[in-house]
Order: sequence, then C-alpha cells, then structure tokens
Amino acid sequence: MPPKKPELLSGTLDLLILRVLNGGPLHGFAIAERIHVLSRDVLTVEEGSLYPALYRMEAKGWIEPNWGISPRGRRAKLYALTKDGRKQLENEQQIWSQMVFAIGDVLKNT
Amino acid sequence: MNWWRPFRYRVGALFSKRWLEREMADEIREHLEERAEHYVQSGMSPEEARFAAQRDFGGVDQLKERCRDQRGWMWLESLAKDFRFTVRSLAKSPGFSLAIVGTLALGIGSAVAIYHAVDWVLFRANPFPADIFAVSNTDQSGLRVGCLVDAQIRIYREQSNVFKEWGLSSSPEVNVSIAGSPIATHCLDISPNFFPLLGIAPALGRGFLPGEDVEGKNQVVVISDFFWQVHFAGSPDVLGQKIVVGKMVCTVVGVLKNNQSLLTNFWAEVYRPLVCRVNPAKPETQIVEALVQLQPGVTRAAAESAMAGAKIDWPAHWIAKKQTLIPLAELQKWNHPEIYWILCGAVGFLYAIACLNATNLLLVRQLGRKRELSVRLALGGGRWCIIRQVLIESFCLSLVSCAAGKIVADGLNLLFVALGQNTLQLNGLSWATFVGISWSTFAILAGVALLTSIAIVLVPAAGLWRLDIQKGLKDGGGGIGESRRLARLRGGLVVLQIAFAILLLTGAGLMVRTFQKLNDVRLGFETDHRVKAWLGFPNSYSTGAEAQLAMIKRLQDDLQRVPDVADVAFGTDNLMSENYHPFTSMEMPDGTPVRVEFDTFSANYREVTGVVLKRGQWLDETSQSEVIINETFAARCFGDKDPIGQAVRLAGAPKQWKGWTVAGVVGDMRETLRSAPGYHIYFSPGPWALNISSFILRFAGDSSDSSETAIRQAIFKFDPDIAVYDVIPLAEIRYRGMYNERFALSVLKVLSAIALFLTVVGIFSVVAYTVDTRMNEFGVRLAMGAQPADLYRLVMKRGLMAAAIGIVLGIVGALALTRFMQSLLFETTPYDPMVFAAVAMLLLAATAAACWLPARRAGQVDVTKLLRAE
Repeated sequence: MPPKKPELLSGTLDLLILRVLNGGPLHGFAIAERIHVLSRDVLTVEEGSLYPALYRMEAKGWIEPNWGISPRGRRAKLYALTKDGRKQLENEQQIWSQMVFAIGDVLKNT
Repeated sequence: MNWWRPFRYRVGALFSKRWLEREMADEIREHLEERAEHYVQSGMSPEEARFAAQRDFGGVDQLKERCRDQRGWMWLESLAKDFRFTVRSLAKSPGFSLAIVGTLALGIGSAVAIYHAVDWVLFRANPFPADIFAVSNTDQSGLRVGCLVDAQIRIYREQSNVFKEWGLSSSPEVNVSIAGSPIATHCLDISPNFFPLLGIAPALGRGFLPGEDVEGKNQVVVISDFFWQVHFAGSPDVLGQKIVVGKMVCTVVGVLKNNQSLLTNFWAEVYRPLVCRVNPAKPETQIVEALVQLQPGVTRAAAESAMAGAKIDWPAHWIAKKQTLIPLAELQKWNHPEIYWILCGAVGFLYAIACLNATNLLLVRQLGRKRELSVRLALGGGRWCIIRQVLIESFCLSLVSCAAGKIVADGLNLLFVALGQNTLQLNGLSWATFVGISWSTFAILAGVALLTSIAIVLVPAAGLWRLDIQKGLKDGGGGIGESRRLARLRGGLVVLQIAFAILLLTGAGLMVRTFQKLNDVRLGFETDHRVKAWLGFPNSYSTGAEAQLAMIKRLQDDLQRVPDVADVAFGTDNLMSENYHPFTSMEMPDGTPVRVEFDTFSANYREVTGVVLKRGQWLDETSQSEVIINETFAARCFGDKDPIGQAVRLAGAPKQWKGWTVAGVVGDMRETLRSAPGYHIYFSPGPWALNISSFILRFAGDSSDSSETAIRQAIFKFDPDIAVYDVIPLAEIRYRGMYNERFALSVLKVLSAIALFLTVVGIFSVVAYTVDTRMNEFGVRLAMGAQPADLYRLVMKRGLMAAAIGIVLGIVGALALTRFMQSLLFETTPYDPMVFAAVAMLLLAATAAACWLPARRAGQVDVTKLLRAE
C-alpha cells in the first residue's frame, strides 16, 4: 500500500497562499495549482478550503483582489499581497521555521 | 496593523451585497470552466470534463455560504434584516403604529417642553463667577439698602489687596423716549466694567469704554435684544440710532443678546454708563448697588472683616448697620421655584401614563401575534431572536415618537410661552430667547425616550419569555380570548394609568381652587375703569413739600384733561403695591413698638378709588395733627374701643408730645394677595407731598384699557423728566399678583387634558379589545337567554371596577403628594375634599364614556351571525 498523501497541516494554508502570492498576483485556480506543483504534487488544496481562506484573508486586509486576465487568457480575479500581507508572511514564515526546528529537535533527541 | 482596510471592506460588504454576490458567482464559474478546460487538455470530452470539475469542486452553495461567513458583520446584517422586517410589519398595521406613536409623542413632547421650561430656573441657576459678591448694607430693620459711592466705596477701593474690581449699578429715575414718544421700559446705569466683570459681551456693537462714565461722555446706551426687536425691528443698523434717556440724547452702541443670563436685579432693557460724581461734602448723594470681585485667594470672611475695619465717615442720618457680602447665586431669587418642581412631577405622571398606554398597546399586538410567534418558536426560532425583534420594534416606535414628540414639544412650548409670558419676564427670562427648543435639550430627552422604549417593552418581553408554545398553537386565532392572567395584567396597567391621572388632575384641581380663592380676595378698593400710574420724580424737584404739592396738583389738572377721565386722585403707591413704603415704629397703648407704614392720599382719594371709610371722617388737605388708620391697625391698637379721637404715638417720642389724633378708620387695602394687610397710618398730603408717587385715574367709560399711551403722553408733555414706571389698569393689578399661579394653572390644565385623553384612550383600548375577544362568549350567553342589557352592564361593570380601583389608589397617592404643593396654595388645604370628589367624578365619567362604545357593541351582538362564523 502506497503511503498516504499528507494532508495540509492546519494553519499552514494561509502561509502557503501568502508565499505563493509573494511572487505576484494570481487567481484562485493558479494559487491551488502553484501549491500543487511547488510541493511536487504532494499537497493538494481543495477549493472548499481555498476560497473561504481567500475571503478571510481579504477581510483581514492581507490580500487585495483585482479583476484581470489569467495566464491562459481568461477573465480572472487576481489576488495580490498588500503591505499588511507581506508583513504577515514574514511573521508566519518565522513562526513556521521556529516550529520546524523545534519539532526537529524533539524528534532528534528522543 | 492597519485597521482601515478591513473596516472599509466590512462596511463595503454591508452595503454592496448584490455586487459582491455576483462577483463571487463569477469567480467560481471561471474557476470551474478553467478546471474543465484543464481536463479537456488532458484528453477528456468537454462534457466529462465539466462533470469532473464540478465533482472536484464540491457543493457550490455551501462554499458560497462559507465564503459569506468570512466577510462583513453577520450580526449587523441580521440586525438590519430585523429592522426591515419591523418596519414592514409596523407599516402593515398603521392603526396600531399611529396609536403608539401618538401616545408616546404626547408623553415625550410634554416632557421635553416642560423640561425646557424648567431647565433654566432649576438647573442653571448659577452661571456667575464665584469670586464676585454683592455688597449688602443692612439697616437696623434688616432691609437691604444701597452703598454710598463717596463715603463707602471710595474707602474700600483703597484696599486693593483685598478687593480687585468694583462693578456699580443704579436705576435712574428717568424716562426713555424715541422720536418724542415715551416708552415703557426699564433703564439701568452701570459702570463700564460691569459687563466684562460678569463675563457678558454685547452680541452686536460694543460695551462701554473706560472713560465713558464721565459727564458729557456718557451719551451712549446698550440695549437688550427685546428692546431691539420691539423698537428697532431687529434691524442691524440700530447702531448709531438715537434714543432719549431723560433729557440726554444717547447713541445706541451695542445690543445685548444674553442679558437674560444676568441676575434679575440687573435685568434692564436700556443700559447707560453710570456717572460717578465725587462730592465728599455731601456723601449720601449717590447710592448704588455694588458688586465686588475679590483678589485671588481672599475669602469672603476676610473681605467682610476688611469692610468692617474700614474707617468710614458715615453721614449723620445714615442708618447702615452692617456690611456683608452675598454670593450672586443667593441674590437670585426666583418667584416660587417650587412651581417648576410641581410641573416636573406633573409631566412625570403624564409620561408614565403615556408609557403604560404604549405597553398596553404592545401587549394587545403581541396577543394578536401569539400564534405566529408560537409557530416560529416551534420551528426552532430562538426566544432571544424573537425578543430582540420585539425590542427593535419598540425602539423603532420610540424613534419615530421622538421625531413626532419634537413637533408636539414645539407646539406646547409656544403655548407655554404665550401662557407664561409675564411670569417669564418677572423671572428675568427674556421670552424671545425662550421660544424654540434647542436640539441639545431634545437630544438629552431623546436618550431618555430610548430608555423608555426598553421600559415599555419589559412586560411584553417577559411574557414572550414564558410563552407556552403548545398553548399558543392550540389557542388558534385567539378564539378563547386573552388568558386570565394577561387580562389581569392589562387591567392593572389601566388602573395605574387612572391612578396617575388622578394625581395629575388633583394637582390641577387644587390650583383651580387656589385661583378661585385669589380671585375672591377683597382688595379693599374698586378696580373697574380705574388706572394707576406709578411715577418717579427727579431729585431736582425735592425743594420742599409745598412746591412738590403744587407741582403734583398741576399734573393732576393735566391728567384730568386726558380723554374720558372722570377724576384723578394721588397718593403714595399703596394699592396692591409691593414697592417701598416709608415706615416707622409706633408705640402701642401697652408700650410695645410695632412697624407701621406711612401713607398719604389726596382729599378725593376715597371717591376715586372706592376705599371704604369705616368710622370717623376723612382728612382735609392741610390737617397736621390728625391721621387716619387702617382697620387692622385700629384693631391691634384699640381692640374693641372706638379709636376716633384717640392718640397714636411714635415709639420713643418725648413725653410732652401728644401724638396724632385718629380722625377716621379706613378699610384695609391689600398690598399683596396672599399676605394679610399690615399696619398703615395715613396723613393728609400737605406735609408729606414728597412721598407721593402714584395717581389713580377713574374713567367714565370702558376706555381704561387703551389709555396707557394717552396717560404716558400727558405726563411726558408735562415734564419729560418724570419717570413713568408703570401704568396699569387696577382690574389687572390683581392678576399681576397671580402670574405664577396663573402660569402653573394653565400649564397644569394643558397637561391634565393630555393625561385625561390618554387615559380615556387607554381604557377604551382595553375594554374594546376585551369585548372583541369575548364576542363568542357573548353570543353563547345571548343564545342561552341573556338579555343584551345584561351584556352591556357586564362590560360597563368591568370598566368601572378598574376605574374605582384606580381612583382609590390615585387618591391615596394624592393625599401623600399634594402637601408638596402647600406653598403654592392659597386658603386651600392640600386635602380639599371638593377637589378630590370632583376629580374622582370626572375620572368615573371619563371611564364610563370610554366603555360606552364597546359596551354598546357587546349589547348589539348578532347571535346567529356569530355562532355561524364559529
């Protein structure tokens, strides 16, 4: 039996979206795809969690939507990072790496 | 963290919902299409691809709902939804909405109007700086007299380490005229620093400048807003206009808009600079009212002892005994301030009645919706949700009522101003600034009104909390009628309304009695077709009694020629006059001294005024040793003995002086309506001419009302220097003493009428609704053989029972409360049985009237129709 694909750790979706958007404005479909590709097909973001997350982040002022044209030439709502979003990204990245080190330490030392 | 963007987003989400919805739908559609395209590229047929995309995506609507949750303020949105629902449902029953809004508007409007009327008197009594005091010279009998500029203030001024600044004022005995015609007004001379000292500045033009308090430079005046409106039509080019004060042509340099915030003592319509003439040789020539500002840190006691220590060279006959400082707030004495508290109480009852009425109406409405509410509860609607809706409903109603209440308040305010104009002037309020309720006053009351919206909803909300779903559903359309408990509750509210109405009406009733009694007071003189003119003669006339009498007789002749005048008498101002009388101490036969006031009158005084000579004879004009005394004094002095021919003596007079012989006894003339007449002694005018200050004119016809101008003109023509303080028909003089009572009575009448109206509406609504819900029962009763008259009686009995309980409660409350009106009442006990009985009868009659229509409906019930409908 092949190993189960890991599910997205709770709380990391925001971080991933922010990170992906750091490269430039993207629409929902592209965000999901980019995460999928960047994680070498390991992580799949479902629309059911992606869109509520996008709306929540917009409400918090981290990202800002604008209608534009997607890379495939379709009309699309492109999300861009705001100044607050960039700050949030830095924060979450820091917290994430701390967490990774901490967990790694725990695993190593036992 | 930037808060603005999220806030803007949420607010935006609230108001552009439709647009956001469309955008969300677009986004999802594009997403689905893109995914399908993706699948097509990897080899699926388009149809297959679309299904796959949708399968991957999952439930679109659920997703949308989850997205919606992320944005905006959900609670605010549902609140808005509740509001819309409430407005719709209120608009659907306009009768109910109008009834509640009307009721609350009357309550709120009356409360605002009364609050506005009492605000100034009760709550803003002391806008004056605390370091300023009035200097009071008290003579041996405790009367306040003015300060001497030369002897006194000049010395105080030298102690500049205690006293900082002096503001002086004095009422000049002069006329004011414009373009040759005299004007009834009040003039005050003030030192140039007077307004700045009290923190007052003219709204137009300027105040007085230093240096204008010198003879020759003082030909400037500042006028009040009232004077400006009446005589210059409020025109802005009033500055530079001329008015004549005494003999002086003065230029208007300023208009004072806020002189109503001055103390009553300093309230005037024309202000002129006070000229201080220094004349140490004759130091009592100038007497003024003095205000003093103390140096910082100096206490009142320290300043008083500094005054006591000052070496003052008092004039020989000056009798000032003691100098004290009076805080300005103490100087301000309102006439009967308790009136305003009574009005506050009265409007409080009215307000309570309005709220009870509104509660009752809300209960009826809720009863009608019982089934609907039960269904909602049964379907899982939260009780809080429903209660919130009821709260919102009462909030909406109160809000609209507030707006309507503003209209009611404005109307009532105009009415009160019209009713109380004279009282307001007596109290130093300029009515011109009184008109119109400021929005700030209204804002305060709107807050209270919103609190009320919660108060009126408490009972209905509690009812909802306990609402029994099963019963609510079973009851159907309310065919069985309101529950026993609810009926009792609503009956109880009506009982309370009636009790409050009794309280209010009893107060008004007692005022009516007082008014009657004051009207019945015998004044001691005739009032019809008679006019009194009260004059001030300039100091330059005081050359001697003989010259003064000659001049007065010439003036009498001139007044005799005023059209329609039948005859003219003169004397001291002793008919219903609260003005200063000369007085002295007289010795009773038993040796005790009593205070007796001196008066004098002309030989024809009796014929002109209708004063009654009880015994003896009238004085002739020159008699020196004979006097007339009034009845009260005669009784005090001689008891039952015949006073004619007896002697009355001054206290402490030398033994060899025989005293004055009593020639006659005259009936008492009233000085005030409320107090018993004092002791009076009357002399012939010859030696006492300097005291004469009033003329009584008897008119042949009815023209006494319109004669004021003619009388003023005649006196002005005789000598423009004679100040005409007052020209008043004697028929009105009684009412001048009753202004406060009249104001209180008329306001109470208005409030009582509103309260009675609301109570009748309240009783009507309860009884009518009860009849409505019991129609089936009545039908059954009729079918079983009851007579229509029985049903009629049944309904009437229920209404009258409620009234009876309310009346008893109200009377008990009134017995406890009316004694607070005591000081306002006259020869009326606060427990006057007539008033209580009349008010109880009135309420019973009102209840009967309110029940009559519903009772008749019950009696006319059509059995067949009713039973068939069932």
